[in-house]
Amino acid sequence: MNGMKHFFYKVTLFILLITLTCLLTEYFLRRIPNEYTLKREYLDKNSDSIEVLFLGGSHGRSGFNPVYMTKRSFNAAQHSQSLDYDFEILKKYQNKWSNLQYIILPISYGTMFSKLATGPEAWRAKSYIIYFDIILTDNLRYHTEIMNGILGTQFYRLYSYYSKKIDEVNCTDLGWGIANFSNDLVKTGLDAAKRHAEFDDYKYYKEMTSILDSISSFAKRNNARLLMITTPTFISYRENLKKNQLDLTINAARNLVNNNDNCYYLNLFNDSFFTDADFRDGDHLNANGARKLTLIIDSLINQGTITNKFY
Amino acid sequence: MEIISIPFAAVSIISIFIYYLLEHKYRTFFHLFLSLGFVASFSRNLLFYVLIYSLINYFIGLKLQTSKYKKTLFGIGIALNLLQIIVLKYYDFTIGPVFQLFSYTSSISHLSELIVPVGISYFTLQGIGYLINVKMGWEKSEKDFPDFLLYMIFYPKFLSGPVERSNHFLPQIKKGNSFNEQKVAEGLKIALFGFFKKVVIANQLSIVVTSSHTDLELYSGINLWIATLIQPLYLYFDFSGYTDIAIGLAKTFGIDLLPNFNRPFFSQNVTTFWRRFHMSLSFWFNDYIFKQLSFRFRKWGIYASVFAVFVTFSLFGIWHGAGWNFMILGVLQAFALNYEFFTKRQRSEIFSKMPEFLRVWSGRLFTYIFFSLSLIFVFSPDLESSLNYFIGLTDLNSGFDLRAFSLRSLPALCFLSLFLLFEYFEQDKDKIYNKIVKFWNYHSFFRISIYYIMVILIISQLGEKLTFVYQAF
Repeated sequence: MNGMKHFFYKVTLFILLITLTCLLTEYFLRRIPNEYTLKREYLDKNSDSIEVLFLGGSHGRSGFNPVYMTKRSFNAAQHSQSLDYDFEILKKYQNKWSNLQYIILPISYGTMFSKLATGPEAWRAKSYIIYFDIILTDNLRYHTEIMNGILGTQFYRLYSYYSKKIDEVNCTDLGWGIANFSNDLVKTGLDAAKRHAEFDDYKYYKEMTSILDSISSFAKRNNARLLMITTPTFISYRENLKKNQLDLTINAARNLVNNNDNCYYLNLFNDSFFTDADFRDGDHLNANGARKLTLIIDSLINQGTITNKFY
Repeated sequence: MEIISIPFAAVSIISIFIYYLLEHKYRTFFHLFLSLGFVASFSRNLLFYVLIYSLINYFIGLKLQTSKYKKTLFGIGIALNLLQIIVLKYYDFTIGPVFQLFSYTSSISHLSELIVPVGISYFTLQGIGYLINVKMGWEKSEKDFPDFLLYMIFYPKFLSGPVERSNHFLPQIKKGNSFNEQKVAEGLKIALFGFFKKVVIANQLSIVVTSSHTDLELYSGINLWIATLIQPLYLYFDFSGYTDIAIGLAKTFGIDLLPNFNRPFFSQNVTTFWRRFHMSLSFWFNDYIFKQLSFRFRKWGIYASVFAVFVTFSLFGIWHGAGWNFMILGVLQAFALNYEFFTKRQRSEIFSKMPEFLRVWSGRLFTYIFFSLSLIFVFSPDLESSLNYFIGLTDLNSGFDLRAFSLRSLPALCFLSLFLLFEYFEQDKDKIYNKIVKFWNYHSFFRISIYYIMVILIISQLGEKLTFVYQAF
């Protein structure tokens, strides 16, 4: 019995040591400033003064630069942010959108067919859980930083911030995703087209359509307009898409516009105004392209009342 | 409940201490409680099914001891065992096509969706093995149903073995044992190494192996060869990881499960390989199929063994899955074994002229390559995919493309090299091995530091790909 007691204490001590290590690592990882903390803090303080809110995935993150907007705007888009997360962000501040006039939502080739928490980038769900209190998955792993990256990566993150003072914020103060690089447009376009078409029988289409509907109703309740945009893409991307999937995407937006008087749709998928110099890869705009796109949106909004439903 | 999870680890550790606080007469029930809970966590239907299945084998076993109609009863028992696995696992491969010929559709095919037969390949072999042991008089039938049920569903081994033998397992749970710190610590150590092998090594290699079978455009030529050669390492660390968890946990309770691996990649021929890889399964097939067939057809002389090897390994292959690619896996092994048997003398003559180092390592290399190529049939979803994979291997114009390999597999390759190096020392270099063991046992601070680092590495990679390869069988 004494032997077992003694062993029990040793095991308990070992487990406590492990737990302490994990808790400390978790604590210090969570203190590293990142885009999610920046956007959360901004929305917490300023959601009641935002007039134009940009949402969506990486196409929105890199495509909309609020600095070019006349009205007070903020980009709350994130990599792989799916419609369900867009809606949760809106709901999170539902009592605070007192000045909201426009919700700008990218409707991209993969938007209607994927969910962040079940896709290849599901690990990003942890950022929503930890930094936004948005829980759309019951996978306990996504409640921690430490279980979402190999140890080497986690230590590198800690070292980069606490030793070299390099944080993980890669966006401007207004949320536009900074991208100081460019890739082979042809190759990245082809790779992205293939990646965005790997969906299983379009099983989320119905659900995403329903969420889109909910977003439009939310906008209406808040006296705001919903402007859906299919952002410009490079030729190598758009010419390698599955027609059926593309048609379903565009039709989802068009149907919403037809059924809701507060919804509008701007399709710039194949717009010749955007040239090679406006892309950083096959499906994302660079700084110049973001400026162009944002100015287009700004001029549409500044017309006062958007009269056309489709552009 | 997933085995690779913090809740499972927590429950296991707590249960060790509860186990030794209980009196011996309650320990089986405690284990049954844990095991039934474990099975129920997959499916309540499965729990109900396993209880019924165990009851049937239990009663048949009892009756076999006393009945006048031993042969008939035994035949019924074996037939029931085979029927249930055929219906639940092999329906699409056996009964389904026959029904289709007569344009008949049956709802039996949905049974496997209802019952979710996790572990069926393992507990079926255990049930059959038990009935054979009783019938042949190798052991007495088990009168205590709780003990028998525990033999069938003991939770550390329920999912993927080892394939236990009733006459090995049952006596152990009947004898009482007191807390032994050394044994418990050893068991925890083995289990920890098992978690490490699975989470830190096998999970990272799985990215390469599964991608190579789903993305043949990215993997061709040299890349595909590298992925092919990684397959055995992935399978070994995945499966031996699970086995270590099962054996380690059982050891903490004073129960020794049958070993499953014995440095298989240091085998110099396929015959030896199958005595060292998934040993509990290969020995089961050897004792209950091969030996029985060889004896029954002994009048055929040497061809009895040839026949027995083909039948045994065909069944061995099909045991892994319901598909022609698994059958081919088995047949390939049979060809290799028979080839080695019939050419033993000639090969000995050739190899005796070679330096020992060359002889040993060329044998190991060829055995490893043969196993690597055999595994194509295991990881491919069907026969056509297997053939396409082999065609991809012949395309040697494609150069090496680093994009095909995740950077995350590099640390895994480093860690597995350490494990294999240790096995090599254990196999060939006694002195170095003994020195390492002595150092390990003597320096407790170093030992605990390594355990600490291993646990942190495991936790940081938990949650990725939780199931084991052999769980699918």
